[in-house]
Amino acid sequence: MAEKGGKGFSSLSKGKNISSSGKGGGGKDSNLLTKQSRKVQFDYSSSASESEDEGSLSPPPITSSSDKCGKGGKAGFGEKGTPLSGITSNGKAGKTSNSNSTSDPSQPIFEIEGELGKNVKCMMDCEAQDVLEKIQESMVILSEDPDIKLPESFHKGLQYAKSTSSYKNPDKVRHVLEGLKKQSVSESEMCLVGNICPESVDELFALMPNLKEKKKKNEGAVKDVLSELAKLKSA
Amino acid sequence: MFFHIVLERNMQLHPRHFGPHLRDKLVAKLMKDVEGTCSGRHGFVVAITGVDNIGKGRIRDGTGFVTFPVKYQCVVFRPFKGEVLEAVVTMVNKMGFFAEAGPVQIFVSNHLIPDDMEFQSGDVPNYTTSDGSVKIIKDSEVRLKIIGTRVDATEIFCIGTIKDDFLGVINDPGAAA
Repeated sequence: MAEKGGKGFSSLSKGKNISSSGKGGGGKDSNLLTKQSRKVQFDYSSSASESEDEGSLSPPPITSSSDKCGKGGKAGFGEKGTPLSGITSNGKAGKTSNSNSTSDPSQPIFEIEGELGKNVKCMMDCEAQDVLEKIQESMVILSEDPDIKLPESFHKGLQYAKSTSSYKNPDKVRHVLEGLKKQSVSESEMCLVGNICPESVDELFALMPNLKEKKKKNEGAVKDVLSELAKLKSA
Repeated sequence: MFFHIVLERNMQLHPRHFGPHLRDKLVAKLMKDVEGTCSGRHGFVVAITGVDNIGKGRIRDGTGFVTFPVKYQCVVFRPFKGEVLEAVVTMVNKMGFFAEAGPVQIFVSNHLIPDDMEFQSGDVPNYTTSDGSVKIIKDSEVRLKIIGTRVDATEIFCIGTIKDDFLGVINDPGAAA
């Protein structure tokens, strides 16, 4: 498992290495930067500098740096001080970060909770279908007024919701999916699961890598939820 | 993904609409103005589901128009990075293909189409595997993952990929015909 984790990260660290060396330029520059940005300490970058210094350092310790790598890469490219502490923290982090093996930089992660405002509620396609169909029905009554016309995007949206929603009873689906909430699955992720309507756990984890990170914890619960959902599927 | 969202908008109404049906006029105007629009921030407004509150109107200086703050609920469709969608292919060319999921257009570049699928030009341009078992043509349904969105004030552009496990063609219109 540890090996796997190492592999997953090696490509990531490589990429970051390049960028860090490119931006950091000479050693002096990076030292300056270190002083300026000492407050922000990312053990990832220090491990990168470690690899530059010693060259032959094997990839796994570098790659197994904690899950802060992403942030480290963004903010702390110049963080090259304290290589020693870097090593020690790497060692520690290596044990804990196995589950993070999926954070492939090329994989876009579905994380939208932060972007959504307070008064925004995610809907599954089947819920949207219900709402839009109701509106369409009421429009038939209102259609005597020629001024009110449903725009094209409404029809496209409804058509899309119809074609993708595979459940007839959205309330039940939502109830089943609520079970995932205990596994620290966010509301938006929950809805996405409902939309994807996966047939197997592997499929779900492949499509939503951020769920896979918590795989050990939530695999059982996810399995249960998927089997429940399969029953609700409208054939 | 669809979202249910509460928004606010200042509506200007001409005095000729004032009267017992003022509220209806406002709602009709709101629907006309808002439905079908796209804002980078909220996505495509698919439909208004309700009007929560219409505030007190304020006469605008110099004109007879009155501005009413209107709070309304609507269903919007907004794509997000990392989201998995089912889309219908609308155009295929050697650069890749365009697909549509609801009101959203998604482009899948040929770099993000599996390597074993090659572009075939002709009357019906398509991407086909070497054994011919899988084909992407116009009207094919594909499951794709959005890897990037570019949000403009009035438009949303998406880039998708089908080069991953469990992504690709779901339904081939050619097979059914």
